[in-house]
Amino acid sequence: MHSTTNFGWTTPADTDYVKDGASAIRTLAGGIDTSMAQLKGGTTGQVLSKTNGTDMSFTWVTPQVGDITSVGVTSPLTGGGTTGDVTIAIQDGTTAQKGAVQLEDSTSSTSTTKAATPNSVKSAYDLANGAIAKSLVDAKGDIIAATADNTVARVAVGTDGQVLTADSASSAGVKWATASSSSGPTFSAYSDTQRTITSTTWTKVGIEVEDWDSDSCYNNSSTYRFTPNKAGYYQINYGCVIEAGGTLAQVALYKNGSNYHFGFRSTTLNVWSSNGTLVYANGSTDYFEVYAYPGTSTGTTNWGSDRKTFFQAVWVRS
Amino acid sequence: MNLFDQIIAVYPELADGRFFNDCTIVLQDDSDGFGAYIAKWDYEKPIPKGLKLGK
Repeated sequence: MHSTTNFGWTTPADTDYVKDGASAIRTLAGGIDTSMAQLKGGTTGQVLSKTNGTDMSFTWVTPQVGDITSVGVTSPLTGGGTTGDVTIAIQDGTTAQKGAVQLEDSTSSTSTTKAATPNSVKSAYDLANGAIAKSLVDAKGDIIAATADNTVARVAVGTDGQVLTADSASSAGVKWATASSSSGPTFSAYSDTQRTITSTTWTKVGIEVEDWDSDSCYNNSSTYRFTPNKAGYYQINYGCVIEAGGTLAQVALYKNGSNYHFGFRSTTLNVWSSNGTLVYANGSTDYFEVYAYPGTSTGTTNWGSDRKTFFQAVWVRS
Repeated sequence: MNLFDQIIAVYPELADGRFFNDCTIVLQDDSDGFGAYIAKWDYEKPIPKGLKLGK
């Protein structure tokens, strides 16, 4: 007797005599029938499914609804199909195409096809976190200044013409302030009134007609004083006409009520004097006046008009 | 009589005005309506009685 290789069905050996063929055929058919028993049955649409790992162990089952019958893809996936081996892939991502993107751990890369790692994002965040936010400024001209180590604040713009000035009293250490002026007060006045003054007496000259008075520092109505409001050195010009002056005529510039600068001195009559000097004024309390002195005479002296009696000053420098 | 004349009346030797011209004696009028006053008196003799230094 012989058995088949795969199923072990019993068949006659090549040298056996066929003296009982029907029995041999029934034996073989019985083996086949036994082996194929589980292939029997089933209904329309059912498929065979392995019951376990044993050879020829099958059962008829109905396919589950939803089982894959085709694989369709959309971009960035490619491939797919309804028969045979189905392969799908994913395209590389670009700025114009969705797809697979490789990570790159860098804060200096200029790639337009790779994505940043969380580490490189954190590095960028840390840098950004330490930067000055533009939201700190609110208006045109605003600037940012340090208020302390690693601390900044907005300094609002000043007004037109102001300059940025260091100021330790300000929180930001700087402030907008009016620039120091390169000019100062000036005035020019003259007398157009004849007055009579007493001889041998230093008499304040009333010079009442202003040509200009830039800072209202000259009083032309009562005190006839020039009281500059800015400290510095001043060029002061003054003159006086003393007519019928007797034996001597003299003019002087007074500072703070005392004779500061003697001007022209003459022993002749009808003197027209013109004088000038440089003086310092503190810009607050210092003041200047013009005094005239007609010399000894039994008569009187007066001063003339037409700008022969005048008083002028201009700030020169601080 | 002005202030100068009042002084001369006491000290006639000052009539030539020399001590006024060199500012040994300074008479001053600040044009403020109060008239002349003695602003400085360095003359060897005292200020005449009835007069005073300053306004």
